[in-house]
Amino acid sequence: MTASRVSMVVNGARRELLVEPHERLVDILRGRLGLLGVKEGCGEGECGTCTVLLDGKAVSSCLMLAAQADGCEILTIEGLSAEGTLHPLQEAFIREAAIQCGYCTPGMILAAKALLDRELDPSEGAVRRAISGNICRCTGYDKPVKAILAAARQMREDAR
Amino acid sequence: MTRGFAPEEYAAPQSVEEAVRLLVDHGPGAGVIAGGTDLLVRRPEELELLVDVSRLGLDGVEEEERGGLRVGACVTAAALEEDVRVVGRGCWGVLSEAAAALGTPTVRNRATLGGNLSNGSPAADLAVAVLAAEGKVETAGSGIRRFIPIEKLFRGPGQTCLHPDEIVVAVHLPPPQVGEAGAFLKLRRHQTAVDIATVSTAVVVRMEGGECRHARIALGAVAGTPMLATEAASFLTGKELTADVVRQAGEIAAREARPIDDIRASASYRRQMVAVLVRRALETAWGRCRA
Repeated sequence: MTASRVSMVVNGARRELLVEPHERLVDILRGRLGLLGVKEGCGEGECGTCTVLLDGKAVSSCLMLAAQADGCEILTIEGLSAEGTLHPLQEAFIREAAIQCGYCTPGMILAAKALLDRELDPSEGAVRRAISGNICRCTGYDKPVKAILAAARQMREDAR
Repeated sequence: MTRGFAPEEYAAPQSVEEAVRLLVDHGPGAGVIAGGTDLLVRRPEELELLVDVSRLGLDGVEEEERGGLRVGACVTAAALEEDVRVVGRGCWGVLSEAAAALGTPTVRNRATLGGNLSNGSPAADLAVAVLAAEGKVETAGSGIRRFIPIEKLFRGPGQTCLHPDEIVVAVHLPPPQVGEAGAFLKLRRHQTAVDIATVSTAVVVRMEGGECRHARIALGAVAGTPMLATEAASFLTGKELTADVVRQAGEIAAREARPIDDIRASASYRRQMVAVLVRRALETAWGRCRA
């Protein structure tokens, strides 16, 4: 077994790791870096709970090798709040009661962030499409959609 | 006892030549990974060496001198979905439509055109689109460079004519023609959810003087490979695509399909849906030709 050296920036901090060829990104984020906000639901790219941002794009961390993240920047839910201040998306999810069991929440918020980073005034359809790969089995989708639209409004105001 | 997915080595070559050399030198047990969205679901046990082709600079889309389009093998579905040079541009547009229907947003951000073709799935969305667009697949292997017409690529479910040490480098599409438009439609068990196609179709038609001059009708998930409905397409030549003509073309395509029963649908349902989808796709494409 030959390990590969991987250098990546995770939640703003440079990480150097030796990873094995079979290890997936989700394995090292959870197992090695202790980032348990990254969930593994289906392990086949269908549920969206393992969503992280890879160089700003939402990807399933169960469907890429850890070795493939070499040179990349990764954001997990743990990296979203700064010094105890929640991100507007996190605030909005709490305010709109868009969380029940919370298992899908990190992935859903990150998928929403990838959208809002590109488009700060998305249509409801664009929001629904952006989180179409994130399955929620508790609240349904209306509240998360409402929360994301509210966060977008807040972020537009903050930007003014 | 099963060994599970346990590759012993991962390699990230810097050039196509180096990637091919790694595949040749290792022989059986070497495999290619790009986006990983198929491979890491299948998790093949026999893989010993993973050759990552995602860093070979194969992620560019270029308009060629003679008006064609060269799409790198590692262009993602998300990139195709949004590329303004591709969206709605004659025969190229079907690639964007098919890309938008593939998997989920997170899968589309990683899944590549080359991977969708190389895996040889009869339901592959991009394969059906490339078939309709009359694409050619550029490959690199040990001492060879091939341009394979897309209809020659597929051999059976999960099987292509690619050699084990041959990789897809790009897909070439012909120049879009005046009066040409396409449409892609995909039927899933739940239309809003992630699922591979129960039936899919991509059509490209070219209108000249109110008549259809040229048509290609590709079908997915209704045969052992993505397939062309050639009789339905030639039936359209020289005709105005009236409601009756497109309905008949759909019925001919349904007869050409060779579907099977599986967990997604019965063969007979699939056949009926070919008729519906082809009719609708032709109506849409014809409307776009006139727009």
